[in-house]
Amino acid sequence: MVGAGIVPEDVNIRELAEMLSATSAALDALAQESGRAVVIPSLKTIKRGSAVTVLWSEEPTWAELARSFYDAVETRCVGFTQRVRDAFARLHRSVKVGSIAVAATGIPHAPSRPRIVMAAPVDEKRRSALYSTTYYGCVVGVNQLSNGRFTVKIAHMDGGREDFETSPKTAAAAARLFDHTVRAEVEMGWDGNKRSGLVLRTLSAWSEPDFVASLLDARRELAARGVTFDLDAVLKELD
Amino acid sequence: MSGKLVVVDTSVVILMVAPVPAGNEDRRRRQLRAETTLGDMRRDGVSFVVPAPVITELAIFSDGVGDRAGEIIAEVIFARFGGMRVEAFDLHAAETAGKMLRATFKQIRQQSDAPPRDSVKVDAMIAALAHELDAAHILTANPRDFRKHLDAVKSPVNVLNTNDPPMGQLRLLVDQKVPQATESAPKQPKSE
Repeated sequence: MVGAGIVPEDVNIRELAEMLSATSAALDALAQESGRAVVIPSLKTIKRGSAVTVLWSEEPTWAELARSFYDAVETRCVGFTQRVRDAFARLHRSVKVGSIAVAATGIPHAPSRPRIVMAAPVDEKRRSALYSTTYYGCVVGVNQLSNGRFTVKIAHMDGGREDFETSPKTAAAAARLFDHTVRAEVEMGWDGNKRSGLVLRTLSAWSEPDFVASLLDARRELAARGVTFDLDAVLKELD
Repeated sequence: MSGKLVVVDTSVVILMVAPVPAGNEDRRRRQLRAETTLGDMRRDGVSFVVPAPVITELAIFSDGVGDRAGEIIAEVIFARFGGMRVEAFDLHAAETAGKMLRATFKQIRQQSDAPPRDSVKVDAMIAALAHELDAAHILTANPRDFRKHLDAVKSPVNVLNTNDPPMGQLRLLVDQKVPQATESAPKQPKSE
């Protein structure tokens, strides 16, 4: 931990514990990303002058892991996985007094690397695709948040409930359809792992029709209008 | 089966709405089986879902049976589908259909005499939607490709063929442990 006049006494043990825990999590994330064995280093020295902690392990993979750690700090995690980026963001936040500086020295068969001050990982927005779909469910809540935004809670026909952000106009329509089944056109983001930014675009009252009766009704009408076609040929074309 | 979703394939919609000419017993029997299966499911409280790609196939079909007849079929079916639960083919379904087709095309490439058919792609879209919706069944009169597509993503969705005997009759056969001689009886020549 570096900064003008910082000494070990300036660092309380909670902050130190969080920094060491975050360091350990960052090493775990790096080890997992590269498929290497997890190494748990030990604290070798705490030096006066600033607040320097030296980590060390005699495990054979420690040198590579330490180099990766330095690379992650140097590149601000560009090109690393989200888990690594999250771990280094936590480490960066863990120090309240001064900043964290990292150096790599004494690594066998590798040149020493100079001390660099750690910055937060570059904020790479997760790539997210925006898509729309249709939901069927029941309006079970309409709320206005303290920031003035509106949300509508829909209980899906197939189970589960979700909140959707929406416009004042659609929120008013949802309030009129409270406790009724609706067909909702929704929009959301998808980053490959989770959905985000659920937005309700439109909704309309809907009730589940009698599917079988509708088909039989269609058949009666087609027969009454004298419509015939070669069913086998049509089914063969679909096959 | 209550509360479960059943995805309906294009073939079932067409089979159900097609007027049967007098004397065509085979077609009448097939239609009756589909009707019985759908009726049983309705009584059990399932929700029927029509995937958007089924609408595409119905539009193609109504254009291929003659101008006037096609217009009437489209008018009659789509008038009733306005209130149906039509499920959009969204991003997740698109990704899943891609996985299914990747596996299917890999198999097809190994059989040089079997080029990809357009209907394979639509069936994959329907199967993908059924998988994404956690549907209990896909109901179809053309089961040929569905199981293959679903297996490609290890989907638990069941494929029900409306040409098979209704489920009640199937259960009766199993429950009563019908002797071998009786089971093979329908295969005997009609002249006997």
